[in-house]
Amino acid sequence: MRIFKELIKNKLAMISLVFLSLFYLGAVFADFFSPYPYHVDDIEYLWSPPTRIHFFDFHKRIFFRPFVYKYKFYIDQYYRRIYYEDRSKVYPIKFFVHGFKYKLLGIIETDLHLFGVSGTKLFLLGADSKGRDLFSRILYGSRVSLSIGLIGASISFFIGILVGAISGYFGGRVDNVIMRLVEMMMMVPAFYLMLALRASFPPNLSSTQVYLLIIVILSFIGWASIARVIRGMALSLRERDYIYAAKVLGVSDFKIIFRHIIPHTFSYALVAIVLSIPGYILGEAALSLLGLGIQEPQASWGNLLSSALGIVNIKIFPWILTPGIFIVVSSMCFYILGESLRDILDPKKKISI
Amino acid sequence: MKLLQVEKVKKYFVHKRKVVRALDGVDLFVEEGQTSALVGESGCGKTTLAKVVVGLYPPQAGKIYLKGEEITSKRNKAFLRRNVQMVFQNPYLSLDPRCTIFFSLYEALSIFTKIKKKEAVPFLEELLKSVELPESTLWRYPHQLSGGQLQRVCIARSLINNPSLLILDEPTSALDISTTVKIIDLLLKIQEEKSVGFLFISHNLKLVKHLAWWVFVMYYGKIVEFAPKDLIYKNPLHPYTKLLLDATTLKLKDIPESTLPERGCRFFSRCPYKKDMCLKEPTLIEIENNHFLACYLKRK
Amino acid sequence: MREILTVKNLSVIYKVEERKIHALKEVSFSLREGEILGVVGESGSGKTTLGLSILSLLDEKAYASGRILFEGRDIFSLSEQELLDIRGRKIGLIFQEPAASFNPVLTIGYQFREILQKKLNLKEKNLVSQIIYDSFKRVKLVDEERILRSYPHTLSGGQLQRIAIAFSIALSPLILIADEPTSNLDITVESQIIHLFLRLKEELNLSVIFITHNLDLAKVICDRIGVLYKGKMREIREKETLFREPKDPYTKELIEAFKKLE
Repeated sequence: MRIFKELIKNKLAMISLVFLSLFYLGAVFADFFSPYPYHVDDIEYLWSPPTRIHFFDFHKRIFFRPFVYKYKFYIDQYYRRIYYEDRSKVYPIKFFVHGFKYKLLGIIETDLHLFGVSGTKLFLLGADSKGRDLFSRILYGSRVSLSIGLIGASISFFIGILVGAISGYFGGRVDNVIMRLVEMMMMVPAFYLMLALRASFPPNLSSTQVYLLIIVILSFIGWASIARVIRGMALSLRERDYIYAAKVLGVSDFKIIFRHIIPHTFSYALVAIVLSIPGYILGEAALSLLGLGIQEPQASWGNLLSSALGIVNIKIFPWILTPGIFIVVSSMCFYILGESLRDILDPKKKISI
Repeated sequence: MKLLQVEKVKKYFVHKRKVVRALDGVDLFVEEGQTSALVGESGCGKTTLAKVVVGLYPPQAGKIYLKGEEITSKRNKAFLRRNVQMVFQNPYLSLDPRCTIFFSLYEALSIFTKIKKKEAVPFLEELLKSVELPESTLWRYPHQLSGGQLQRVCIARSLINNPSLLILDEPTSALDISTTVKIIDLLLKIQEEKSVGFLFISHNLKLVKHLAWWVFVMYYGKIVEFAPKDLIYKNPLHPYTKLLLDATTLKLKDIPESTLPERGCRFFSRCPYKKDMCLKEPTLIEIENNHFLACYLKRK
Repeated sequence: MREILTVKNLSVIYKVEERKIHALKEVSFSLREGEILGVVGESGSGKTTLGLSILSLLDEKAYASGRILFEGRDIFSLSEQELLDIRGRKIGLIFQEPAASFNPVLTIGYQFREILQKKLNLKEKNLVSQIIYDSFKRVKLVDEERILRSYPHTLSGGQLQRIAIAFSIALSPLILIADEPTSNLDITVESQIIHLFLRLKEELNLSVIFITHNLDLAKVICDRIGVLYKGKMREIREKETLFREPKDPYTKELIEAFKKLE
């Protein structure tokens, strides 16, 4: 409770928390917020730029609801499509419209969407090479990217804490074996390990399988460093008198580890979990960027960015970089939140007389 | 038969590539329902001995018997846990700060008795009353209690499974005088009611006087003198015992810093009566009835 | 007897997370020239705060009120420069934890010389060395060459406390505040340090405020004893009368407990 109170006082941390909440809200209700499904191509709108939203028409008449014009294109001398607004007809943006069908939270079948236009298409952040709405794809992609961060970090923490606590508590030979293993894991550069692990699995997996595989790979890389730190904490915790007292009473090692060692590492673990999440988001992005992660037509922030690999593309279609902005902002929010948590939980800051 | 019999126990540690002989052949005993006191300065191996007896450290050599059963072997672990308990020096550190007193006590209780949490409450309340604490203490966290209260909780916890031997490792050195007196009174009351044997470890000879039957004086991992309380206080024979007694009344002036010689009597460097023969280490010998001494001074 | 230091209505409040903790409440007493005044209290009674406030060494979370008069001036009204002149130079302080008084990465000799040069403005090296040897002799430290060259962690607690005492007497202060100087030492070492302390006090005609929780010790060495409890000075009397007929109920309890252990 004290943590939360102090967190509220910290403005930067609060802003990060708000941003992250919005991101996760967007991920959970992606179907509701996105006007189009993530996989539907539209030949009419290849590389369409973000649609401009108007409040006044070219006669300077005000409209009470924002509207868009239909985008049309001509082909220029380089065989490029040049889009322009067809101002002959106004298409108002409607809210709570009926669109494609989906299951809200996976249960309630509905076709309600936050916004949409009928008669033309609305691309808030532009469209990609196949004319798919980037905004919708980013929303769907955040499901993958943001959940990999949370789940991956949690799994590697679960393993890291368990292994670290066991290693530190028992010490001696157990500790020696586990720590050498951990060091071996840490010696291999994480990125190559990631690629090697991915390479050891077949390339043509279903998207769910790939998703799970990425989580497993990232957690497999992540647990070692956590185990090392938790082991250090356990090593000092086991010298505490209350641990000795529990041993003398006859409390089993298993119970001592779970009741008296692991809970004392939680505050550290909380900080480290939050600080490590960006690593998972970036890890997924890196794999997908290289085409080893989430496959088309499934979206993730990483594979959305992969279309921005060529400098030419970035120059002509700058909006395809927006997934990168989402990666940067969400990572930064996690870092700021983690740092503030560390400041709050830092035992050295507690005042004593 | 003695309740606890420690025979030639050795425990060495390796510290910075040097072997530290924390216990170098210690003999000691506790009689049933009585108190033996182990006296010495910090670093002499008192706490190490306590930890060896309760099985936290395995000894390098020597045997420890409880009621005639050897307890150093793994086979007798449950027997050891049931019969030997320990109260630690600093009560602030001996209870998990994240657990309520109830949980700490219940954890201890549930090791040998299968009992549900709800059913344990009246029993634990009764237990707290027996160490003169209010029932409400049960639902407190350690940081809400004073040092004296915490030490009472620790004593209660150690008594929960009715052990026959309680090891008290400087149980009052972190407490204030008035609290110390109350804790000592409590310990005496408990011993009378339950006839538990105490091994009372302390550096304070003044305190020991109130509890002990037998007093063992330890210096650098070895017992240098032991005798019933009265003999130790009225007729201390070992120069180190005399030194300790003088120190408690602040009578000392100048004595050399304590250093452990390579061989011979451990007290050699500080001893005012040292002779050549002291370069060979003296063994514990009964000088007079029940009075054992490891010094050549009183030998014929 | 002349009063060398007077504390009047000293109150200290610590502000911790918007809570106020009264460490000292309206404490008044005076230190007479050449006496050892014992301040006895249990843990949390405010003893250490008292010692620190006399040298105006309280941290920024502490708010002190009242007056501490030394040489006709109020300590709290002095500038930082004037305080530096008093600290160590006129009023010395010895801490409970000997190791904490030294910088672990510098040799004893370096630290000693630095203090002397800073506090006494001494430039001549010979004079500095002379003072160091003199004060080491005073505290009966043999082998001073080796000690001056060694780092704090290589020395024993007893040695460190002797060195700390040597540091503080080298500047020949008028008053020494000793905050539990022996409570972390073994009893045989404690006894020696106390004797050293008493001898130095006679030789240098020091006035001492001896802060301790150990009534045994206070009874042996102090002239007068003040009993501090929950930030209040409950009673301050001549030693003999305090032990014979304590007036305050808390003091009574304390003395009774003490006598029970005798």
